[in-house]
Amino acid sequence: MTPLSEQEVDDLLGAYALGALAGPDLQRVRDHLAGCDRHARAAADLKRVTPALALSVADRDPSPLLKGRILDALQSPAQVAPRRQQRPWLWVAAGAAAIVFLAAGIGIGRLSAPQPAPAQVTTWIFHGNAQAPQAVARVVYFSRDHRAVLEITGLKPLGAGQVYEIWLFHGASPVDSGVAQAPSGTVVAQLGDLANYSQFAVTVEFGEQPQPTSSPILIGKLSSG
Amino acid sequence: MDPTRVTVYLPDSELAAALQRGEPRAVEALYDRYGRLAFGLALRMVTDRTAAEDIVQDAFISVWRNASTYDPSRGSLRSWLLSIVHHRAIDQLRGSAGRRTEAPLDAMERLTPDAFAVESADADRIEIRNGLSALPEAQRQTLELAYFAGLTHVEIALRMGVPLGTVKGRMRMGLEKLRDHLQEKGIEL
Repeated sequence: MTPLSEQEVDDLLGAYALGALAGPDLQRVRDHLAGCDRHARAAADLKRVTPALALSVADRDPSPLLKGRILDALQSPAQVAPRRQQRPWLWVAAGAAAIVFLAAGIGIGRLSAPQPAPAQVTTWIFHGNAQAPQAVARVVYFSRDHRAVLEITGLKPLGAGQVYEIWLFHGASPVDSGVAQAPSGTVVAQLGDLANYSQFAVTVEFGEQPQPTSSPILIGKLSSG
Repeated sequence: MDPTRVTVYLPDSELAAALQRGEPRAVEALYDRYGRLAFGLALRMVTDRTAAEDIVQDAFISVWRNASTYDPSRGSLRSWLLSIVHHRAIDQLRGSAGRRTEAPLDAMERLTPDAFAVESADADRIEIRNGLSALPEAQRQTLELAYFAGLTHVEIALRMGVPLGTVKGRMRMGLEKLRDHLQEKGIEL
């Protein structure tokens, strides 16, 4: 391979620092830098600038589940990190109502008694009935962390004064677990520990109610099996 | 929310030390601090949320597993994390069959005030954006095509319809101007 001249290396250093060299060009620059302190320092100098490009990008919100997946992977170093399954629907950024919903918190209490060791991460997907045919709820339960994340997409806009109310069932008793309006059609919320709950449901209510006053648009069992 | 969870601010240098001691909570703190930034970079590059999240996940796990190799003299913890995200995203772009015809020159976020509004509180990042915005358009576009779209200098020359030597010059001059701007503003990466 023909060595590069000093001038040729000068010309290529910017591309090298940006990672924009490939094949023989890249190898020839590397070969030169291995034996040339001046160019090695110049290359390092330019390389230190490239993170500025990364910092020019605006922050974006990943799925609220991502952090849990990463931390879970750290605790199981021998295992391949669990990845989210491909979904037929996109993760939609939570609308203002969903953010308020999150900020307000809808914790439902922690375990007061030892529980059988359930699966580390359990996911349930529920589809809306005829009243909400586009609605899909995804509940991901991190049993070790005693918390869960809820995402509902495909919700219809509500009328004045109406809210979506989320219920968790302790036996046959529904427990009010929060309300949202979901103007964007999406709700994202954190739930507390699901260990004592057997069923999940969503109703449309006029304001937050202590008990459901209408039939659920989404309902399903939170079975560990 | 878990009421027992307490957030304690640590400087990046101490966070790096905690990572090197193998403390999992350091990864959590790192994610809380830079997860949105890392995801923003990955999403800008691969333009697909699922792929971007996988890249971020791989990057944080890599930080955890390779913390002992981090050398503060070569850059900040943040820059190290971002370089890992960048390399993962480049690998993905260069492994994608359609990348060369779909490189997002037109779709890439432009350096507009709106795009920057989210991070208006970060003075360093504002100065970085100012420095990029001050570059001649062709230089800035060349840097972005290389860094965000993962194009080689040859591919950029073809794409922009300019001689290869012009692309090389724009890359080097663009980086040097940006470096000078950062030095003038006292910004360390």
